[in-house]
Amino acid sequence: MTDHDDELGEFLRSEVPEPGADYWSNIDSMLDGVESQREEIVTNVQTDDNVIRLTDMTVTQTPPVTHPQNRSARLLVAAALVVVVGFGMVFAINRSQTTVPLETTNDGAPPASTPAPGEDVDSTSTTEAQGDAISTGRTCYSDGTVVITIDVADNGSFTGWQVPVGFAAGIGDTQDTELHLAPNGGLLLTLAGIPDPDSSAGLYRVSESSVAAFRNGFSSISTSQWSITSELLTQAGQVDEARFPAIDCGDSSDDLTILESTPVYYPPDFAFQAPTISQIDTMPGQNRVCYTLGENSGIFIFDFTDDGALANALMMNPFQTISATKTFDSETTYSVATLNLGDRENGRDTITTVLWEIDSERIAVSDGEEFPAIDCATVADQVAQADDFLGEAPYPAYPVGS
Amino acid sequence: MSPVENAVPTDARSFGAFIRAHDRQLRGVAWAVVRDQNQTDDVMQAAYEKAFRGLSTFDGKSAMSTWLHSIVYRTALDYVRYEGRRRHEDVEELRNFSGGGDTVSGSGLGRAELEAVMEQLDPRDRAAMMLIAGWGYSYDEAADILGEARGTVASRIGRARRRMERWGQ
Repeated sequence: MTDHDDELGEFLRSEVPEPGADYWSNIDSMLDGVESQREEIVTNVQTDDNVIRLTDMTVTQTPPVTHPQNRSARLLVAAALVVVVGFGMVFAINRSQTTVPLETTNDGAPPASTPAPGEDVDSTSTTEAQGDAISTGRTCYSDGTVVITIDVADNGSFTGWQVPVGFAAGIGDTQDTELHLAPNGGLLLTLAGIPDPDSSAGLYRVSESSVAAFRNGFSSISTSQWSITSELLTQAGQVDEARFPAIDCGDSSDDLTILESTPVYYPPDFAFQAPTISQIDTMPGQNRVCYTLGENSGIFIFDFTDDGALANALMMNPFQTISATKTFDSETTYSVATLNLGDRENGRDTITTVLWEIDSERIAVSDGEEFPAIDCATVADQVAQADDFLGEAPYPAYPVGS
Repeated sequence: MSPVENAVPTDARSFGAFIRAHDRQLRGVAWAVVRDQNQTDDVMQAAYEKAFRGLSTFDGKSAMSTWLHSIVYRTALDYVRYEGRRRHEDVEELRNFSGGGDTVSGSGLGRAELEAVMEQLDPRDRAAMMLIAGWGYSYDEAADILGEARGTVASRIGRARRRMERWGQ
């Protein structure tokens, strides 16, 4: 280093502002809070006296959807949605300490049913329903798209539940968590419910262990507060409160039990691919539609087959990759799983699932956000601009089936 | 790498002590990217939370501080990226900037003018400058933190220096 460099270095160092007055107190509080959460979860999950293990892991056929609350940049539409059926903040903590192995046996409870595809649930009941604490037996809840089933034993404790998780792309290893395919190609979660000591009215803290451990190995725990009564399941701690009114569990469904013995297999050499622009130009798919999230904010590329099925889904952004699966009852609505790569550095990734309506003009997300279609011929230029901003990070993508 | 440097804090207290010891340098990276005091604080808190929650993922292959730098850098970059905080100053406005005060040698620019040039740099170039020129990291160390090839980091430094020289003319 020369003297000039020394002076430049001095200038750079002198520029760094001192932290604000509450900087360290905020950080200390945050660290204490994280530590308390971790200790509490680990203690509760590992102590039989305190834990009600929820082991009835099956899945419904209804594809998941979250209701995005896009508060910041458009690119975070998916990330602002909550992983796993839109529930809970993601708290990535030590998998070995917190992951509850998925148990595939059903505790003898009758399998649950699902509403017919597209069946609506009376949403008006969500605003007033409170109800009593749930009694024994099975209670089913739905917001019209997601069905949650709760089994309660005679002593009032949970014996099982089921939540659909519709990740279209099942990727990862299964070191600690046994993963299972959902009917729509998604994965299941392990769940554990811990009664809240401050509540006697059915308030539970629910931890949801993550679904996928990608090749570089990660696992995360989503923790959320659920209030569960006979008429309403409410999930708080979210950007918005999610409310699931009770529905008729209906008759049993054989589809649910099939999944319990269907593990997810991952090719040993699986890796996200990093296509170049030239590769993208030659991706299969005759009917390509491109969308933009805005300047330097990423580009979506969808390839459709002649019969309208989705052949490829790609997000031109180094932080995210996506896959999309057509919903059961619509030609233009897709359940889109987004893998957020932004946290790769500290070893974890995040998957979010959203519902998008896709046509030749725009993508419409369920919260009303829209992304306009662009001329695919301009994609290369826009990618170059994004690349100039974002650096040389790869653009992960992988094909998905229709 | 000293034993202390490589020690992995395991609880809030030891982690807090560790980040206090390294905060100044870490803040430098966040500042280089976001260029706003309040946002720097926000980025740091978010990065520390990420790091603390992800302590188990630290593999010890690099120094703890290097790992933290990387998290801070990525968090700051994500912040700029997602919050649309990239600056788009008009080049002509900058060209007409009338800086004053002392000259920072090595750049040929006045301090205020140099600050304006820094604002104009790509956030990643600024981070590279901060690491190498500000904190004395090697190119290899900076490459690890920035997650880029050594040559890319060198290009960033070269580009930043050229911008300074250009505006100094």
